[in-house]
Amino acid sequence: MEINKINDYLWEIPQSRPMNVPARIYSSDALIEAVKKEETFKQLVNVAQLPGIVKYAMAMPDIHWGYGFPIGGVAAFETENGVISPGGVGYDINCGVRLAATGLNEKEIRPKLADLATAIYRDIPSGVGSTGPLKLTEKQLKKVLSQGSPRIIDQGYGDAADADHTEEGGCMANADPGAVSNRAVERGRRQLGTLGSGNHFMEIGVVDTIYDPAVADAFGLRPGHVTLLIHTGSRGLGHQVCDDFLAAMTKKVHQTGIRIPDRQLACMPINSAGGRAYYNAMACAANFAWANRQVLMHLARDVFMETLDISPRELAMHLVYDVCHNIAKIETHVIDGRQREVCVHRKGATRAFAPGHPALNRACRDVGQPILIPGDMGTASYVLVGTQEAMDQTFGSTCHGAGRVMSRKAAKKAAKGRSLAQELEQQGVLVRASGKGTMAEEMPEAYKNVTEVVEAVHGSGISRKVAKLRPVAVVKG
Amino acid sequence: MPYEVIDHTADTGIRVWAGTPTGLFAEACRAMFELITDNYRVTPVKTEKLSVEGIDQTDLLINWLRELLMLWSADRELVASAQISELSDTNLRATVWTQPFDPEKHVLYTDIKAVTYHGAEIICRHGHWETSVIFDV
Repeated sequence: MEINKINDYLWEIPQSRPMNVPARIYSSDALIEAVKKEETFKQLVNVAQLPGIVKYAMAMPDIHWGYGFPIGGVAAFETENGVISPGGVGYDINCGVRLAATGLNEKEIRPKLADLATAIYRDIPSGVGSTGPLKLTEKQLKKVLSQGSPRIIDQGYGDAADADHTEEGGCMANADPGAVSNRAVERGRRQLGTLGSGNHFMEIGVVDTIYDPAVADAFGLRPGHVTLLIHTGSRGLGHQVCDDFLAAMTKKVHQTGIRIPDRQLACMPINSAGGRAYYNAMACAANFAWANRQVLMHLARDVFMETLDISPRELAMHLVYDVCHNIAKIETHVIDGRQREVCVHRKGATRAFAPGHPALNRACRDVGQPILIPGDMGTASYVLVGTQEAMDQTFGSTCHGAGRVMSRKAAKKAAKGRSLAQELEQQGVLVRASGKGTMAEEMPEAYKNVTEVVEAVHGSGISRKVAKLRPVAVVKG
Repeated sequence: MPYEVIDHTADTGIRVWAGTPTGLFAEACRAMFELITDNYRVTPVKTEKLSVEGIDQTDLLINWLRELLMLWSADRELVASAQISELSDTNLRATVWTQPFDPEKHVLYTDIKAVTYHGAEIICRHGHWETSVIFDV
């Protein structure tokens, strides 16, 4: 496959039949070689074949092999002739990250850090099949699906300002619970306020380095202060929505005359009943995920206050931002000099809107959208900010995390005979996890170097570094 | 062992083969639940009749695994064994024996969250039926 280097941070696979557009990969010399070994480029070329795709099939530096769409992929489709694909969003709809900052500094929590990690692990539902603190009736759940995190804030799980600091205000328009199957509703009822398993986690960190003091200040990030990072999504409900529509679209896609190179790329025209139904159901799952992270933050806030025996005022926890990284959204972008409405799929990619964008809240409108990049458990997480370059090049999108380099099996093999918890503790990171298996699968070496990923997006200009967070305790499902 | 685990960077999968399509479908069920738990500890206590449709044989296989996974992810039932009574390219009928998950008795290995279509294609070569299935974990 022909891959041309365009500049230090960008590679291109030229358009050839049956691609509708070329493919572009944001990366660096340090990262590109590992990707070349995988099937990832072929997956990107498959995406470039879908009808109505605009400009490029794009990959972020944390790209890795997914199914159908690669993870770390961005693709925009014309709303009039393009398609929407559940596989282009992923199973965990609105899997995302929420960052809260506190008024506490590291010294104040160090003596009780182990208690804090243990209490979070004990009090916040996590792991396979965990159920949440809210037992919702079908009617109550459907309100959450149509109204998102503001609904749950109204019920006492947070402050009104939290919704303002959430992408889309924590509620996507067009969410229609009628488009969500009974099975999905049933799975969602028990899972609001649960962390889940796999790569989902809660991380207590410290603001370690500030790269851009003015922007960090606008985001409410102070050097040395304690932060809380939450990574989870829409749980079984989102998976069920994706699964339901993949099955339905696989059946129908042949009738539309659309040729797909992989069944997992099943899609429908955005402007069809099937396409709209998926969008409306996906919006419900996205709203569920925002409500989920909202409840989790509220539970964690209580654990902090109780364990440290402090008041809300002393804790001074506030939401910096909440971003999603598995989503499709109708957005307006300037393409070839004119404004056009497109459906942007971000699968393992984060929105990165520039300063001045009307979708941004007052706190960040002048500086740009906060972007939260979790690393592996031992290294670092980053806060970045959206740029005009992202608007011009990537439909306002950037990377979402470190991205795996090692399979789960390989990670388990590499972890054999080692005490990962002890190793991490020596590096200053306390870990609480439900099983050794998860610990091994999620070990730091299994991921790309998050710093290299961040340097690549910073270098390419599609986002800019604001702050680095150093993890001090991690709780895994 | 008529299946093997595929090593995939982000997820996990199985490559299954059998002498008949029915064998392939049964083996895929066993492989999926062996990834989830230690099958040896699952006792057949409940039965469930399943009827599954697909647009072709591959679609049918994915839908079959999807229905089986649903027993686990939605109802917390582990599958002990399955007997396929009818199988065509587009329809399947089976009886499935399950046991409700008991944390005291059962171990959980991999939390399979979905069955994907990625790369799945049933092929028949020299009288052997074979396919791969990638799971979202």
